[in-house]
Amino acid sequence: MKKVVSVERVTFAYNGIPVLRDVSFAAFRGEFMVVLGPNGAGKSTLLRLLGGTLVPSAGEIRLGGIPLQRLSARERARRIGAVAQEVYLDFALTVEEVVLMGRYPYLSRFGHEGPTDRKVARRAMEAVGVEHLRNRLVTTLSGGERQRVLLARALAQEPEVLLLDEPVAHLDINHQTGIMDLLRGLTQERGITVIAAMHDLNLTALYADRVLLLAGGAVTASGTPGEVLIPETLEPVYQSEVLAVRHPRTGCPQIMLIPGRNERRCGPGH
Amino acid sequence: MRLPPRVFLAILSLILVGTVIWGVATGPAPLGLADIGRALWTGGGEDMATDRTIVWQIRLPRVALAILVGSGLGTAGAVLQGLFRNPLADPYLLGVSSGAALGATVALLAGFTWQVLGLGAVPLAALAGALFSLWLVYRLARVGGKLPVFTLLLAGVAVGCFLTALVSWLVFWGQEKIHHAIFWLMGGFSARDWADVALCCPYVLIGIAVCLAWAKELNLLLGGEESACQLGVNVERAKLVLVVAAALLTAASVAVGGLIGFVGLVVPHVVRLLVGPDHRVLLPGSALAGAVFLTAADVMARTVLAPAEIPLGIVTALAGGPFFMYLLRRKGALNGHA
Amino acid sequence: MRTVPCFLLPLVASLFLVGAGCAGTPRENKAGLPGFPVQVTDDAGRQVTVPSPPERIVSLAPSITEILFALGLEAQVVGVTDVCDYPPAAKQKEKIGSFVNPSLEKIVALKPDLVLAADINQKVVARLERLNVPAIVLKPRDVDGVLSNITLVGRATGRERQAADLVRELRARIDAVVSKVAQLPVTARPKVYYEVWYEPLCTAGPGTFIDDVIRLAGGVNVAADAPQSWPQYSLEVLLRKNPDVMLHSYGHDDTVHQTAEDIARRPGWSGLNFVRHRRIYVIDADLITRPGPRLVKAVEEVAQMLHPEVFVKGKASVAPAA
Repeated sequence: MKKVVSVERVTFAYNGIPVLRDVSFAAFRGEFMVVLGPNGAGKSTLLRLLGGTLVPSAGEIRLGGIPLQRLSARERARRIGAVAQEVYLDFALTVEEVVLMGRYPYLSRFGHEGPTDRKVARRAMEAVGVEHLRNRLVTTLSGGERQRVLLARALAQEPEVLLLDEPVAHLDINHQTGIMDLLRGLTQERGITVIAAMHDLNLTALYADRVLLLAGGAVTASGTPGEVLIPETLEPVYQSEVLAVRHPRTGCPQIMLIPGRNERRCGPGH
Repeated sequence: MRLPPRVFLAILSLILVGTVIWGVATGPAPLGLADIGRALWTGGGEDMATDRTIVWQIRLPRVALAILVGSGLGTAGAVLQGLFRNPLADPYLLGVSSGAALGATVALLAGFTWQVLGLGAVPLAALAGALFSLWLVYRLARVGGKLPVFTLLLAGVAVGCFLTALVSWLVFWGQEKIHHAIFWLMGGFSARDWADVALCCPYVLIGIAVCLAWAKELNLLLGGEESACQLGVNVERAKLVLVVAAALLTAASVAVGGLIGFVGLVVPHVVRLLVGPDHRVLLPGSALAGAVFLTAADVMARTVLAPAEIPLGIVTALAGGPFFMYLLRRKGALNGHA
Repeated sequence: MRTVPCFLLPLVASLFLVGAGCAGTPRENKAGLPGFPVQVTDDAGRQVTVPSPPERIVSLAPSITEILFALGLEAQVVGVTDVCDYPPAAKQKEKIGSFVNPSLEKIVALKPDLVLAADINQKVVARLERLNVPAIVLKPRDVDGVLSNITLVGRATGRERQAADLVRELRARIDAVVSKVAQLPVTARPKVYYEVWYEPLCTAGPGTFIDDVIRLAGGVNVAADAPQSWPQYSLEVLLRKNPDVMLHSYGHDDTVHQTAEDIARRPGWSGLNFVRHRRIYVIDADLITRPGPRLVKAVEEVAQMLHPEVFVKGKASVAPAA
C-alpha cells in the first residue's frame, strides 16, 4: 500500500506549552484512519499540523514523500482538503458558490471557474448529497447540511487526503452513520485517505480501518479498532472502567460504559 | 434576491455617466448645456474663454477627483470590511487618514507652498503622512512574521487616535491658520485642479486593480483565515497586499480630498445588499457606486447653498448617516455579512 | 474641540485674523510707472502685475470691500462675499460665496480683471494665478499695515490720489488720538481686557488688531504678553491681572447677548476692577477687527471709552476736552 502521509517524530509547543510530543505514524492510500483521545489530547492540533496551518516545532510531516512545508499553499490545497469543527458560513453565498471555492487552488490569479470546475463541484455536491440545494443560500441551511457543504467544498479540491475534525459531533444518529458511510465510501471508491479526529469510540469501531489513540499529546496506541479499543488501552487513557463487546451484526468491537456508584439496574420492562 | 452581476455593473456604469454629465453641467456659474458642449468640443472664440476655463479647469477636475476618490474609498471600505469581517470597518480604521491629516496640517500651518512637478505641498505632505502612519501601524501589528487581524485593528485605532490628537494640538497652536486646517479636514474639492488629479490617479488605479486581482482571496477569507489557508490561500501575503492596497487608496483619497467620511462605510453595504458578498462583483460595484455617490454629493455641496460651498464631508455624513441608520434597522443587511 | 469656537467666532463674525510670524511685513510698493501696467508686491510677497485699470474687481473679504468702496470703486466691484455688509450698497453686489470658502467657479464666471484676497484664501489665489487672473493678497498685522494696504490697493486700481487722501485723513485722526495719549502719564493708562468669548474665556493677544487699537487708544492690553494671538484665560489669570476696563462685542450680532449685568453676575467676577467700577464697554466687532478704514474709528471710540475725561464723545475727529 502506498504511504500517503508520514508523520515523523513531530513535536508541537504552543507558547512554550507542549501540546504534542514525539508523534509518529503513517497513513496509507484509501485508508480510513481515526484519531481518538480525550479532550485536550491534541487531536485538533494534530489535524492542523497535517493540514499545514501549523508548523511543527520539531519533526517532519511528509505528503507523498515531500516535506509539507516545501509545498506552496496552492499545491498543498490541491492534495489536502480539510473540514473544520466549527462551521463558519455566515455569508450570503449559495451552496454552489461555496463549493466552487474549493477550486481556488486550480485557478490562476485572474482566472475564473470554468466548465471543468463546475463539473467537479457538481460531482462533489452529488457525492455528499447536497446537489439539490445548490442554489440555496448557505445561511438558510441546517447545521448538518452546512457540514455536508463544507465536505463537498473539500472534495472539490480533488484531494488525496481528507482531514476532518469531529465530523459527526453535533449530528443526529442517522446523519452520523450517513456521514461515516459517505467517508468510507470515498476511501473505497476514490482512494482518498481520510483522517478524522473523533471522540465517539463505537462509531469509530464500525468504520475505521486504523485507530490512533492520543493522550496528553503522545500516541498511546495505534492499530486496528480491534487492537486499540480494548479495556487495557482505553482505561488508563479515559480514567474510567469500560467493557468491550462485539457488535452483533458486524463483529466490530463496541465499548460499553460501566456506570459508577449511582447505577441504575434495568430488568424486563424497564 | 440578487441582481445578476453584469446587469448591475452595466446599470451602475450608465448611472455614473449620467452623474458625470450632471456634475459638469451644474455649478454656480450659469452655463447652459449648449455652452458646455461648445466649451468641450469646438472650443469657441475668445468670448468662450471663461466658459472653457470653468468647464475644463474647474468643473472637470472636480468631477474627475470625485470619481477617483469615490471609487478609491468605496473599494477600500469593501476590502477592509471583508478583511476584518466587520460591517463597521471603513477606510479610516487603519489610521492612515490621521497620518494624512497630520501631514496636511503640518504643511498648512507651516505655510509650505512649494510645488514638486506641479503637485502641491499639502497633498504631497498628506500622502507622506499617510505612508508614515501605515508603516507605524504595520510595525505595531506585526507579531512573529504574521499580521493578526485583531492587532491590526487595534494598532490602526491606536495610531489613528494618537495622530488625531497631534492634529488637534497643532490646530490649537496654529491659531490664525486654524481655518486652513479645519476646512481641509472637513473635506472637499473646492479649488482643486488637474495636478491633484494627477497625484491621486496612479495610486487609485493601481490600488483598485490590485484589490480586484485579490478578490478571490477576499472571498475565501470570509470563512476565516484557517479555512482560507486550507483552501490554498497564502493568508499572510494576501492580508499584506490587501491592507497596503486599501491603505494606499485611502492615503491618495485623503491627500487630495481631506476627510470625507461615510463613503467607505456605507457604499459597500448598499452594493452588498444588491449583489451579495462575492468580492469579484462587490469590489467593482463599490468602486462605481462610490464614484457615483461622491460625484453626486459634490454637486450638492456646490449647488445647494450656492455660491457658498458646503464642505463635502458634511454632505456625505448628512446623506450617509441616516441611510446607515436605516440599514441598521434592516438587520437582514448585517446578517448577510456577519 | 472646545477651543475651536473661540477662534471660529471671530471668523464667523467676519473678522480678519492676523497672520503673525510667518506673514511678511508689508513691503513698500515699487516706485515706478505712474500709469499701467502696474507691478506691486503684495503682503504674501508675491509680485503681481495689473495690466490695465481694473474694471471688474472681486473682493474676498469684507475689509477689502470697505477699502474699495472708500476709494470710490463701487462701480468696478462685481463680486463680494456674503458677509460684506458695509457700506450697505455692498450688499447689493453679486455674491461669490462665503468669506472662508468662496466659490472659484463663481469668481471666474464674473470675469474679473483683479481679485483682492485675504490670507485665508491662499488656495483660491494660487488657482487664480494659474488661470492668469491678477490676484493680490492682503495680510496686514496692525493699523499701519492697513494704511499700507490702502495705498497698495490705490496703486493697483489707479486710484492713487484717492488713496493718498484717505490715508492722510486717517493718519491725522490717529495722530490726534496718539498725541493726546502721549501726554497722559503712564499710570493713567488703564489695563484693558477685550473678551472674544467667555466659554472658555478667550481674549486678544499680540499680533491682533484689537491689541494694536488698545495700544493706540492709550490702554494696556492685559494679554499683550501672551504667547499666542488668541489666548485662553482662566478666571484665576484674569483675577490676577485685574483689568480696569473690559471691552467686548456681544450684542452686535443677534446671536449672543451679554449685558454688563450678565457679566457682573458671573460667579467670582464681582471682585474684578472693571465690574466694581462698571467700566464695561461695547464696541462693534466689525470696527475693531476688520482691517479697513473703520479701524481708525475703533481707535477713536476706544480712546473715548478709556479716557472719557480727555476725549469728548463725538463723531469722526475728537476734540480734546477744554
